[in-house]
Amino acid sequence: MTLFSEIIQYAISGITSGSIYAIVGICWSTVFLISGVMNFVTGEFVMLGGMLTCVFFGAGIGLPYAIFLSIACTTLIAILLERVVIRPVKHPTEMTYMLITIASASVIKGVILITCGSETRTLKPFIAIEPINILGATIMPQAIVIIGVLGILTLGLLWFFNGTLLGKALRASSINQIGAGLIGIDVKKFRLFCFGLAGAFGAIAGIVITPIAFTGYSIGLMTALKGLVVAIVGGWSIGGTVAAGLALGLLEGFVAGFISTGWKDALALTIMVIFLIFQTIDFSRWKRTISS
Amino acid sequence: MKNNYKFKINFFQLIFITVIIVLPTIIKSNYIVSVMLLVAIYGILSIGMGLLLGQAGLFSLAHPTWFGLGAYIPGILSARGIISPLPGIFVAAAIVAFIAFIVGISVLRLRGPYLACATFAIILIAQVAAAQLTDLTGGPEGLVGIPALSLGKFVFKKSH
Repeated sequence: MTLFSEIIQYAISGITSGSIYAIVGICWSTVFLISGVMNFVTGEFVMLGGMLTCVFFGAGIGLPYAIFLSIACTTLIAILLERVVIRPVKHPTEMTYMLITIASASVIKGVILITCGSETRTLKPFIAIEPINILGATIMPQAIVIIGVLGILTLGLLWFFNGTLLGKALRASSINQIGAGLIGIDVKKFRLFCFGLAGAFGAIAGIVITPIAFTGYSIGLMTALKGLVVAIVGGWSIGGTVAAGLALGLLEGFVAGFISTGWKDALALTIMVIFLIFQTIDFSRWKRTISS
Repeated sequence: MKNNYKFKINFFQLIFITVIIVLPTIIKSNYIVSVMLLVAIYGILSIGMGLLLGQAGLFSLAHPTWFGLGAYIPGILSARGIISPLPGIFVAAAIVAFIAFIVGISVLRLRGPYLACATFAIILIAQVAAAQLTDLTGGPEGLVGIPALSLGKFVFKKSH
């Protein structure tokens, strides 16, 4: 294998995992924009999507029905989470939301560990064609499915937010909740809707990644944090999040390929910490001190 | 007025703490002793957390990192025979305080949920580092060969 084909191989695997980060990042940013909740359960949605599909498929339900059922269940869990755990908070601050969602995430993780066991699971690839060769690198068909799903979800969401009345109302309530309420937009229903949307998207991400990466009860936390990194670096916008997700995936792919697999998880988090700290530095003031 | 209570100890709190300290000396049960040890360790941990969250109002989640470093540093130093375990504890406390100070200078520029996110990330970075630096920390298998605590010629051994 030449260096060139190796680079292409790492880029392809990077874009594949980057697509997943982008979908998870979209889940973070839709929920955060509308409700101001940093939803650490996002990673558990991904885990639930993959695990429930494996469980339903193992119970003898056909694959399309199992996928549909698990997306429906995850969406329901997400909606219940908003209604039962998030909405009744008396004095909501970002901190309380954060602690509540971290705790809920570990409850969901524990329930899955008890009911489904700690072994990792996987699914067969969805489309049964031979791996494709491009310039000496192989593309798994599942990678094409993942990138395609990212494209469909992103375009669908962009159309929804810019082209439909409901999406425009959602954007309005993300800008000013009280103002949106005054002109007759039911902000509470929209928060519920956004949690459901995040649940469904997370479940889809979890399902499409399962055939190439094993799923288990404990994958949620790392996935959630990767999504958070992507959403923060992308500035909580859909386009920015997708771009940041693909960039992070590529970077991780090259680091895992050429440096070390073990350190790649630390890379994303280090990027986030450095990015956050850099944002607080006022560079214009530096320039003034240097020039004066 | 309300703030003042945070620095004082309540009568019931005093009784509770005394019971927890005295209980293992009365009941000679290994299980009770080990549970009370955990109570004491988590108590120390939560004093630190309470100081940050309650008095300083900073929502920092990086505490487990310092907890872990405080376990690893004296462990590594004494397993390699550089320093004996008891002074190792104080040396480690000083080192960890210095590291936390350096991290704090940069991270405390952030506020609110972003501070929490950054400190949460620090925990996981430390976890990855502890798992990856296998020749230093022993990796996932853990650190072995730490000598028992000793004070002069007296050695604190397990009673059972």
